[in-house]
Amino acid sequence: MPRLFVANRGEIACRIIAAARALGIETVVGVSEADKDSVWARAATRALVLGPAPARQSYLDGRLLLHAAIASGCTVLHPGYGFLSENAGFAQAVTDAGLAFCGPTPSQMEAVGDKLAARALARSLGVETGQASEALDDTEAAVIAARMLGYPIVTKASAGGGGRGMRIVRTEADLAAAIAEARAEAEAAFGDGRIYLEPFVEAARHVEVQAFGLGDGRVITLGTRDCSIQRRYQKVVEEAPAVAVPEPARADMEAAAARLLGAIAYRGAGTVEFLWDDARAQYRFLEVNARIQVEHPVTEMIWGIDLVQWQIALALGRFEPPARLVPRGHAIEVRILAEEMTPDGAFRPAPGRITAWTPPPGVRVDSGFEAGCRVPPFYDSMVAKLIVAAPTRAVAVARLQAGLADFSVEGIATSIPFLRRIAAHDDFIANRLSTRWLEADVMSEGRLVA
Amino acid sequence: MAISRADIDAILATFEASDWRTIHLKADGLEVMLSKDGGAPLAAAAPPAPTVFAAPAELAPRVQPSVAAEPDDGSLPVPAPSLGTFYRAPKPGASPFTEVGARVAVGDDLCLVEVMKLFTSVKAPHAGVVTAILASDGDLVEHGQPLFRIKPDA
Repeated sequence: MPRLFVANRGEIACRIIAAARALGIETVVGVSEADKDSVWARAATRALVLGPAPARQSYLDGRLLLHAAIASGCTVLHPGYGFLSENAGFAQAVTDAGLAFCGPTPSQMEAVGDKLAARALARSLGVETGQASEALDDTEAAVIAARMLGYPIVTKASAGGGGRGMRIVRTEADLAAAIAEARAEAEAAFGDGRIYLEPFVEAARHVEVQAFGLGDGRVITLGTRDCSIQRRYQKVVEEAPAVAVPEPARADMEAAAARLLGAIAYRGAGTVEFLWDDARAQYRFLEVNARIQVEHPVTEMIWGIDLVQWQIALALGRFEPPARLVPRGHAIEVRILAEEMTPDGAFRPAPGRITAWTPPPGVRVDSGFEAGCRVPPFYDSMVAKLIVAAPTRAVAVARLQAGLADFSVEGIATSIPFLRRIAAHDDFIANRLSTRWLEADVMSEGRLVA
Repeated sequence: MAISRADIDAILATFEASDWRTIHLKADGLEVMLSKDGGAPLAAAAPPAPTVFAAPAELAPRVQPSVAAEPDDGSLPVPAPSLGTFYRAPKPGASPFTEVGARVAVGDDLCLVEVMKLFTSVKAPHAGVVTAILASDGDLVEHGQPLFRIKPDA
């Protein structure tokens, strides 16, 4: 019987364990000292304490994870998202040790992990990438590139995302300082300070295509998601499908994603992200996320599938593409964070002991926490995802409002009150959204602040 | 190019057959420190033979060392610094670093914990007498798991 090692924590660890169990596969999870009494440590067939709480000595230590996986007799490893999920060196070490890796090959990760390399690949396949500079060597080159692109521009780090290395620059006077900041941030976060420039689109939507490559050039695409509601480049609300974008453009994006991933015979779950420019009714390629993403459940809900089971089955050589795949309705996910909002609209992490945890009945909640759990201060603050589905977006919005109203957590502060105000907002209900909506249009006016 | 198990085996065989006393090799993200001197002078000491992992047939939930079971003899536990494979001796066939009943001084090597071919020696945190050895040679041990008990000198 295969045995799967879970190299992650929190809700995605629980999600992987449940998917493995459904496939009749035992699980071993590596946990830090801080997580040894966690829900996922109890849910797995066995938990192994890797090291102390800091991620560098536990969840980010590939040697410890691999030693634990081998020594506990695991034959397949799932990296989840974040941590080492897109680290090609780790994927290579797992493969070299003879374990199957639930994700793309190391060379595929490298091919799409670097944004400039991914842009070049997309362009070579005729995928619309829009204008961008090359990696900038000095301020002089940046000034020339920015003039050619036209202000406002945005700086981006070639090595990664999550908003790090991103600065919006509106005038040439601010350019040098912004690039220096962006470069330092990228260097600290990714050990790679390469920065490039793109024109900044004021009213854009973040639209992405969920894809699943079979590793032989075949790629299944599973429609679009709209993740435009963001705060500091972190997604807050995600929907599927991206109904605000006209159907022909969505179909084009799906075809482009299939072409891009098919060209490298991509293996496993991956997301191709696009920017949708409302004013020009144009899309352009942004980047590829070579992993399962936080927001994958909205796609699962409308297609009636389990992407994590697909990942595991593919890694074990057992995946059979379903004969019929038909999407139905609309799904929305919100990320619930253990954070409190201060009166001036800032957020700060609120770790602590959960004394009461009452999720709404009959609604999908993916979580790694329950009453009595301690939310440790060392990691990402997300404690749950609430996912609703309905035949139409309007009904899904109503279910989201009801679900958030019925979700009660005590002992720690959460972002639930903030999400309730988003869900009740006229612009959200009417789907009048952009990536700048939450921060620039709403929070800056204090309309969502308690 | 990644270093494979076969490469490591070759390095170990070469070292074993040579008259070298230590090797410190760093390549491609892998770091190996080998010594024939059972501890000194390197922090990481000679490894036993390459670990052959026997996949456990059953995944029995670990029996947690019970707090109630701790002996009330004034001895203190020595926890594992991280997850890894426990070795009582510097190499196969060599005598163990220590035994129950033996006296240890601060800093004496007690065992090795191996993580993907990197061997870390666990040293006595205080002087005293070893009253218990709580893991067996080749065991997978977890971070914080008590490996020894040492009764400190009065």
